[in-house]
Amino acid sequence: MRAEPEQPDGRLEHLLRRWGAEEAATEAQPGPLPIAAARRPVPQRVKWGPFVLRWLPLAASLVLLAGAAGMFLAAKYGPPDRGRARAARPSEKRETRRLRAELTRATGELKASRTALAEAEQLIAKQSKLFKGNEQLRADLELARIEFRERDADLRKEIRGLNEHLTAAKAQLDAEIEKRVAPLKKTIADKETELEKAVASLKQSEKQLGDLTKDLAAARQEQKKLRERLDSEAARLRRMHETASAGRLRAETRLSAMQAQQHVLRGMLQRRYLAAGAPGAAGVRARQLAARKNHLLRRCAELRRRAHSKSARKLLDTLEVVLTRLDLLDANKSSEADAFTASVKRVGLIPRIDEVLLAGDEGPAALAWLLETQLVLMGM
Amino acid sequence: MDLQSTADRSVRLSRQREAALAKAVELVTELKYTEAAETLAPLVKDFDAVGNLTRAAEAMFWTAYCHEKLDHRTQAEDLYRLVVRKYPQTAASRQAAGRLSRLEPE
Repeated sequence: MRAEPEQPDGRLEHLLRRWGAEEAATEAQPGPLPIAAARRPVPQRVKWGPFVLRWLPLAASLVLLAGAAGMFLAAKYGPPDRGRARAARPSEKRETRRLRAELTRATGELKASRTALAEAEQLIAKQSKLFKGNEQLRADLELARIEFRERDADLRKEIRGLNEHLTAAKAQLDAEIEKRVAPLKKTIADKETELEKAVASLKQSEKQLGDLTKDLAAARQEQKKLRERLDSEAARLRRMHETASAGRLRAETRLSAMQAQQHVLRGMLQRRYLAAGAPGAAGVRARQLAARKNHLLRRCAELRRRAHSKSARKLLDTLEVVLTRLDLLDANKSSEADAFTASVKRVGLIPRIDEVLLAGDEGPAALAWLLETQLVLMGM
Repeated sequence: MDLQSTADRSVRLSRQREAALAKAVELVTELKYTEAAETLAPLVKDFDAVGNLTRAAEAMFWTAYCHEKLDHRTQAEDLYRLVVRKYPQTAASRQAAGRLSRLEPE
């Protein structure tokens, strides 16, 4: 009977203290990191609401106080039982004192509860504020996460697109490089082949150059010897040349003298020949008459048939034409004589006759005829 | 005036013919018989036409001479005879007779 009224009060206190400790622990406990909390699934807690939490301790205290008052009034104004009432008077007094003490103690606890309630309300307000802040943070975090995921998805998509584009570009670039490099490779291969050939040719040339250098050195030695011989020979020839020049000078002098003498003799011979063939005549007429009297044309035909050399026959042919022209010449016309003389000189008959006479290849009759013809034509 | 110009023209033509004959004889001297014969043949008629028998005889003689040297013996003999017969009083006629006597068999 004594312990029963104390049990509800104790449980209530115990519950209130336990609730206050949990709230204090919850408040003191640091909240999870936003990202970690956002990633971890949030357990669905039972939400009491601020109103209930605020008024629950007060309601409990009022209930407790009403119970105590009811028990006090029942004990004082209950049905009269005189025999027992007198016997029970000391115990009632003790009960009254106890209840008064209990009331005093309950009043103190009520004050303490009110103080605790005020503190709890402050804590609840603070926690509510924190809770709201936390909810806002979670909402912001969720929004940021969604935005982040969208952005991440976009970025991944963009990266995939870029990767695909990059792969395609790389493939195209590789193909282009291959396309451009292929002819270059061929050209390089050709050039390398040419280079190898050129190197081989160069080596061959170097070998040839070496051989040629040796030959050149030998040739230089030979040239040096030849030059020495040449110098020696040149000196000898120079001496011979000087001797020969002196001899030639003497011979030329003698030849000139002989030619002058011959010219004089020929002139004398021509005059006698023409005088014998054409007495009293002169000039072209004397030459015509002398040629006719000595039958130069008729003898020419006979000599041509017997001529040994082709050059002699050709000379005889020319002389036959010239003697014929002389015979047909009008001696009275100086223009014809001049034209005839120019033609004889142009053909160079007198020197040609000298050549054949000096050669001496023809017979005496031919030589005599050539000499007579020269006498007729000479001086024209 | 016309007579003068005609005379001048005649002189000029005569000189041209003389020059042509001299050139042809030069060709003969150079032993170019074919070319000379081609040049000489028309000159005979030209000289004949103007009555220059001496030059006509010479042109014909040298034509015959070229044929002789080219071994055209029949043509040469015919022309030599023609020179002797047609131009008897000329030096060419005498020369042609001499050539003819040497060509004909004795």
